[in-house]
Amino acid sequence: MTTQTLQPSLLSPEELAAAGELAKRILSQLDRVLLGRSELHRMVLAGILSRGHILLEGLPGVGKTAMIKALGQILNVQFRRVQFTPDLMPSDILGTHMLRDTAGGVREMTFHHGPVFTNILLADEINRASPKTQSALLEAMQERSVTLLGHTRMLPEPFFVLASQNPIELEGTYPLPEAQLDRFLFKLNVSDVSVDVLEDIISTRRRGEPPVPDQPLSAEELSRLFGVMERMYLPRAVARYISRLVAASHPGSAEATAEVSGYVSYGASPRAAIAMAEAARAYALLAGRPSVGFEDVRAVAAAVMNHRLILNYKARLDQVNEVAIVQGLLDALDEAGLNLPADVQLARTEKENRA
Amino acid sequence: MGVLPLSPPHAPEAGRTGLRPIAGGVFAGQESRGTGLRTVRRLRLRLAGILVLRACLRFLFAWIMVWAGVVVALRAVLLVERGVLLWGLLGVAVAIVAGAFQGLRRLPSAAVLRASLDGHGALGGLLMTAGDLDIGAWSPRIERVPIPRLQWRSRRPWLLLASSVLFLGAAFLLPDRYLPVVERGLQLGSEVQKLSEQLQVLTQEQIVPPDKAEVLERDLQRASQEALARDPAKLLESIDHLEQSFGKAAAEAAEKAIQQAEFSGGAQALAEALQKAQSQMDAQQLSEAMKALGQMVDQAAAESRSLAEGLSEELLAACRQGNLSEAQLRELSEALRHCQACERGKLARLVEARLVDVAELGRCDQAGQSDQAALIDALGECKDSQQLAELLHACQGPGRGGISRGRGDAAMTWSQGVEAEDAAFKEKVLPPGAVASLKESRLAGISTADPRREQPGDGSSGGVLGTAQAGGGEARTQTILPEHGQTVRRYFERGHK
Repeated sequence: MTTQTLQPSLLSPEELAAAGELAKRILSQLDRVLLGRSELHRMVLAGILSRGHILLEGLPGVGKTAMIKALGQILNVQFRRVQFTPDLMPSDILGTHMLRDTAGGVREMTFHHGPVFTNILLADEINRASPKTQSALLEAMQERSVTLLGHTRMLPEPFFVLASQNPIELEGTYPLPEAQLDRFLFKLNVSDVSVDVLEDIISTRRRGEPPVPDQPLSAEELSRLFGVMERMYLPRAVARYISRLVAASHPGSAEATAEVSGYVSYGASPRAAIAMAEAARAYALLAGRPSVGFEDVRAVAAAVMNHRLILNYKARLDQVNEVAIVQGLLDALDEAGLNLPADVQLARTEKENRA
Repeated sequence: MGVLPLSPPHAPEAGRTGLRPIAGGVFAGQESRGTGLRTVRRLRLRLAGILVLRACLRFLFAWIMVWAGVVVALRAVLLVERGVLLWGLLGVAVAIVAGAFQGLRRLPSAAVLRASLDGHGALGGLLMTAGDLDIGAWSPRIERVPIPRLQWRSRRPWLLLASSVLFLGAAFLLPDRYLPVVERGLQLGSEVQKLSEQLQVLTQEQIVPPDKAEVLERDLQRASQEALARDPAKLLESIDHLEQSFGKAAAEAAEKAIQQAEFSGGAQALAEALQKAQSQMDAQQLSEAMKALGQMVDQAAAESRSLAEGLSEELLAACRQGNLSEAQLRELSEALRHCQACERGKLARLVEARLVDVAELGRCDQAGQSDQAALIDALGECKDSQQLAELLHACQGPGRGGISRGRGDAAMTWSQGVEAEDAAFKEKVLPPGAVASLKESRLAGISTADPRREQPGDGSSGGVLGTAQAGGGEARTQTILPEHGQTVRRYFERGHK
């Protein structure tokens, strides 16, 4: 009699190489559309591969909308943009029931789909909408469904919300509630570009119009990419590192740093740990590795945690931000949890240091 | 552009968990799993060595410090021999075992160490994955995993251990004379108890007055409680003085008791003889004999309270008048015998308290013994008053005179030989080099070391006697220890032998 045992298996180098080629194609096209944003593109793609929502924060005119539009074109999925304003109503996003005459001459309520029924929803200046409208997205972001009048409608697969918000002109804005913030996988800061990049933009583009992506992915390719993502291996030690990082973000926890104890009111949620694991998987895929390493966690930790930490007034007074606190955590925590005595340590060899 | 109905990845469950069925549960690619794992084993072995050594050093340091402290304390306080203290070597073995146990407890698991190596080598989780499952074609990536350097700042623990070993060596090798000795009182408990018991007996027998006995008892107790070995000669001298005083008082009391017994015995013999020889004697001689008996009884009653209490006034009056009836003579005889028994009992208690020699009890038993028949015959044969007076004088016992008692013309009877030692009243002067140095010396220190005898001509090395010249009759440094008490005592007692 033969017994069947489920044995995990790694992606083969060939499988990973094919997925890597697809990722590279997406990134190269994004880099061609938006100059000087390679790392941002990498993080956005990692967020997309993790099936997470992304909050982009940056000044007007830095290319947030252009990037998301280009991403929709490259991924060859439906893209819709909603400009959030204070008078925007939930029905403007989710859709509404309308009384219509049918062909048979009978009047009935028909559902008119809102812009949320798409693959990529660009929620532009999301913090300008009222909390009521912002909250309309909660179910869509978490359950990927919309419930109206007791009837639940599933959103198309995949579904991403890429929201932007402006860090200035805060008058008349409504800061996102913590529950909503927690639903974003990443909060990415879109910063200014360098002079060289600006020069390239001006020199190569008439009126700054970006080139149209010419190699969109097919549905089968996108599906394959998500399939590879599902088989990325997360070692137990890395999962523990992620757990320790998230736990240490809570003041009063065993491994909390002095900065966490002094400046953080509330730490990251378990959803942050899940998000970090997924994002690290995606980052490892983009790096061409079949398994997640500590470096992948370190790469995504700040983007995952910075909007989930609630700082106190002392932090604001001392001008300490979330990124600095996450960085402090990354520096303080031993990745593997060796817990060696203080006078014993593993040091890199000279050869490693040179490398 | 329409909404893409993207399907979930192929083989949803398998894809999600990353599981692949393998027949028979056999690991595929076992060989590839062992590549970087050997490196982990090597590193773990080295780390175990360091952690065990580190913990052993800490435990050894702690134990050796404790051991050295105990060595010093036991050598100084309980005067324990060095050989016994070597049993502490067993603690070294225990410390090593405990250190190994603790070191191995702190040893990270292979999985943790693998993770650490992965992080150090920036292997992207491949080494960690290799510990969990077959990495197949990825194994060349972890073929050569560099082993990070293990750094241990070991100077401090080694220095601490070396210092503790030095301390232990010093604790063992330090000569006895340099050890601080805890001062202890002289062991005078038995002597004081003995003296206290003797004092109690002397008080009960009314040899020592109660008020004086109370003062002496208090002095004795104070000497017992406060006796330090700083001046043992003086202390032992005072104890000896008390013992001698008690002995002297007891000896005097014993001598007196023997005399009383002897006197009472003589009187009792005469009373019994008169009782039996009444018919053979004429009335005048009988009356004179009874008067002589009355004088003897008067003297005895004056010395013995028990006799005085046992005689009635009527009997005493009849004694003095020389007119005793037969019944009165019997009563008198009984009273005198009782008096003798009282004196013997007193002497027996002194002997029991080791205040007087047991031979004294024998003397007491023989005191007053006489040949009753011969005395009766002699009384009957007396022709005149002269013969009767001589006989009655003989009945009063041997000569009553002595150095400290009796009249100068009292007859002395030399019945027993006198040994020269007992008559040695001449005070014996002790050699000046011994007693003088003992009494006039100053305490230079107390040590557990053996007393050192300085050779004549050796100069004192330092301290208050730095300029003293030894051997010339001057003070010497002599250390008197509590255990030398007996020696000192024997030294002072040699004059009495």
